[in-house]
Amino acid sequence: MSSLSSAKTWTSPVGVTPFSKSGKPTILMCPPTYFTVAYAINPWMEEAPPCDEALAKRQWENLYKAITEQGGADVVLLEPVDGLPDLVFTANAAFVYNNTAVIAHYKHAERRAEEPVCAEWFEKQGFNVVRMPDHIFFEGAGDALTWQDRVFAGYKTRTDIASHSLLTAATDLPVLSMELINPRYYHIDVCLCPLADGHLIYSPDAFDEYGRAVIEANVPKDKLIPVSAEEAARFACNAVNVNDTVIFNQGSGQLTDDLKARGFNVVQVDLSEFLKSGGSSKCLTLRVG
Amino acid sequence: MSGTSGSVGLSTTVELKGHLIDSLTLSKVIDVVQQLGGDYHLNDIRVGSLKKDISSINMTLMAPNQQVMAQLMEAITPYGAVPGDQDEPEILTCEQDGQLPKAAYSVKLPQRVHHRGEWVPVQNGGAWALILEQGQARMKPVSELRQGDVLISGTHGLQW
Repeated sequence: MSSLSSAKTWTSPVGVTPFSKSGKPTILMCPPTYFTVAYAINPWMEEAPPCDEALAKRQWENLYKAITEQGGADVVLLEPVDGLPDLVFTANAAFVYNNTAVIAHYKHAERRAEEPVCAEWFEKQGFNVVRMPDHIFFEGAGDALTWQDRVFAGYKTRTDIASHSLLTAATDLPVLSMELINPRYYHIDVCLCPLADGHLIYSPDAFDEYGRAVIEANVPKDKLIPVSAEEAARFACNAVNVNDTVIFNQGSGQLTDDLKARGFNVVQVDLSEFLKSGGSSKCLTLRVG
Repeated sequence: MSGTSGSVGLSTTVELKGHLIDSLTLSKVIDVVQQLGGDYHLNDIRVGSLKKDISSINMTLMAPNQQVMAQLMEAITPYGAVPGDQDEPEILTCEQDGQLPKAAYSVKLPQRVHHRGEWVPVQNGGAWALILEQGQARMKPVSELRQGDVLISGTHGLQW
């Protein structure tokens, strides 16, 4: 087994934020107090059997433990709000880089009441809060993922490509605009995930030939980890990477083997109740420091 | 730079701004235009010198007819294309009930659907025209047009 070379060269994907003083990775989560599948705004929700809310709470706690105890990260909490079941998916709240938080502006009206809640939280933490114009949709770190010195950003299903220029203006980061062609992979964070040391896992089926060419032109071949369609459908790409630990939904043996061969520790957590809503471990987290 | 496909009947100007080169967005737009039977001419290209710089392109889109032009605009709008001119559309007046003037903008919807071995009529299918009425724009079936209705002509001043 090779070991990660990132232990000393790891740079935070969110730069230097108000949470950087602790020296530990910091992740924003929101307890699933009010989580349920209350409406259908993606194919997973349309097909979802009833959600077991009590089981969802236990699964979320297991993820919390994996992130803090096995990943070694600090977790800060966003207070849940009655009537906002998807606030639990903090990945969508904003895109964070240095002291800037670009707040989501949701395509679906069902989620727009989350926007002021998240903007207020980031303001209180000392971030410079940037809002999108009313006519441009942008769904936070669900559709914008920092890899090395650039951002892989999804568009078409939820986020408008016009938001990508504004993302660059707000953060000074170059953006690679990636069209999402499969409605089941409605955010880029369910089909692509940057990892430590320049690695990147992705589902080739979620992108067209242009998107795959962009990925291959940017990420060295030995750092690129394709995920099978079967494992991607189990949200294998929706992974949380903290230090050299990668956490994702259970049932992806091939990806587990691929990551272990590269020196990662892999933790699989059963997140079945959140899959019914179209989200998994990454969707339930937002790196803020 | 121009494409070489299709015959040219209509043209309109569009603009694209963003991370067009490294993301292959411009390549995608050009391929889509040609696949749909349109053509293009790149009037102005400004490519950012740094990776974080935004590029901008002004291009003329050409299509053999209105239907193809509408398809082109609908197809490239998700890639960030916006009309390059702020002209208002030309206006025509309906001169006879149920008759569409030749240059008026219209959309053809399917009239029948093959369902379980039978052709089922589409209740609101057929040709629809774009009209202006009391400051609002809406689609109206051509069969319901009335003399004096204000109709849109061409593809200028329309956004998809």
